[in-house]
Amino acid sequence: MNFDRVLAIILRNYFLTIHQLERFTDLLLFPIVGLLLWGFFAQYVGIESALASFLVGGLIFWTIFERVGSGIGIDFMWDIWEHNLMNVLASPITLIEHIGGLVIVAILKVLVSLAAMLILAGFVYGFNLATLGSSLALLWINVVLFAVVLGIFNVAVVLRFGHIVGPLTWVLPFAIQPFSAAFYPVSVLPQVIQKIVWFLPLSHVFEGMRYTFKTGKLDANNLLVALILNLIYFALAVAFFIYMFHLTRKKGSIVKL
Amino acid sequence: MKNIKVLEVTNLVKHFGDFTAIEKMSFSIKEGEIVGFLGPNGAGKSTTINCLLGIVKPDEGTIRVFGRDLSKNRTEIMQKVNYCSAEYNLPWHLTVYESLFVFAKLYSVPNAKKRIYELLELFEIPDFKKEFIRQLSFGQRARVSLCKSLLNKPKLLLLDEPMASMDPDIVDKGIKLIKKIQKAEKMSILYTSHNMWEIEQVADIVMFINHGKVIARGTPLELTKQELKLEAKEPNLREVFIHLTRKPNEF
Repeated sequence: MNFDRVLAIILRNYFLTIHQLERFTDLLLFPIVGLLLWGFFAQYVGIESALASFLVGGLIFWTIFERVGSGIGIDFMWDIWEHNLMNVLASPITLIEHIGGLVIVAILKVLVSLAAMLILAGFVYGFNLATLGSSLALLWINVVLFAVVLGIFNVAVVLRFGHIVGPLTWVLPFAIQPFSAAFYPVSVLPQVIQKIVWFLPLSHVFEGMRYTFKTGKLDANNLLVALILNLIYFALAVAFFIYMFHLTRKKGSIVKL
Repeated sequence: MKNIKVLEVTNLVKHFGDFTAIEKMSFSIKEGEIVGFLGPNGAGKSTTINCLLGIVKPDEGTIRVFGRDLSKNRTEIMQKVNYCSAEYNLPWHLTVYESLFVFAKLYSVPNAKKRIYELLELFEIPDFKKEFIRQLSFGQRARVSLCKSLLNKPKLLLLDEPMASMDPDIVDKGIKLIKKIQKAEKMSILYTSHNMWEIEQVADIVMFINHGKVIARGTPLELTKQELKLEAKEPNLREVFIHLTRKPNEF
């Protein structure tokens, strides 16, 4: 892995962000507005403090997932939208460096959003994510890992089918949301769906988060299952990406993106 | 010009479904040679270039660049290769300097800032460094793309209609500049264009392809004499092009 080439992907997105108001709003405005909206709603309906924590915590982790998951695909598509992808692909960059750069960009962006949300949640609602203790890092890693899986999957699909399937990048996280148990426990869902939902790492993450908020203890079981599922999906996503990339090179459709 | 082969293509084949884009194509480029790569639309020029960049995977055949197999050493090879096409943009929402800086990093160019300034001076566009790519005219953008293609001082440069949107004055300056840089850096160039005058000015050797095959190769003057059966003193690639690509009894 060549650091210069990874840095190039990071710099390209940094320059884009400082010049593009929409990317700036994506980074700060939407997460903050979302937090304010649901935080005030919780206060208005008089939700007890544990439930409010579930809601705010769920929202923060969901935002991490959604931003990283869709961010990787969207940042990749910027090169397609700007008709610049061929120039990038013609350079010595490798697949791993390209995707690695996009993942780092997505994580850096989410750290900015996360910092803003945590500061706001602390000031306005007295919410402190640090109460999650050591679970915090494990939850964060699992959320980011699954978001990376989704991002890699999105890029692979866009590579193969072009920007016509680009909307999947932001539709997929949205479609997963009702089944992720971000804002309610899995037990709320119908029995049949519950069985499927347990295959989603996110449902384990959010169950684990609620358990820690409620008991102050680490939910090792759920976090371990989430991690194992994430590692399996990560391996599958990478294999799928490599397969799609080779297929695209073989069919020549890569130059038509 | 030395006899070292910088690029060696052997029996290259590429099919897209039932369509044969490249059929058993073989050719080579020597160090310091500029090869004009000509053919009608759909002849297989761009597909060949995409294979040479390692972006499209050939079905058969081998591509050796600097004596090494491209399929196994792409990253190392591409450090010394570059590409420019008027068909593709540089990042639209970045300034000229930022775009070139990103590509300088992609090619691990040492002292990137100095190299960028050198090239902007050379192409007479130093005042545009803070302009966004989207604000530039077609011709200015094409010049920035040429700057991008020279960032890493490539030993092999693939130019796919690089001056398609430039006015004749800029094309003339561009050609002189490319030849000057090519001589100084001993660069080899594969150059496609539909402007035959441009190719006559720039190319040492011209290679015509049609239906994915090389159908003629020689200096512009040799080809004019050979294909048009004339005792010509000046090359006339336009007539050669028409002669080679138009079917008998067509128009």
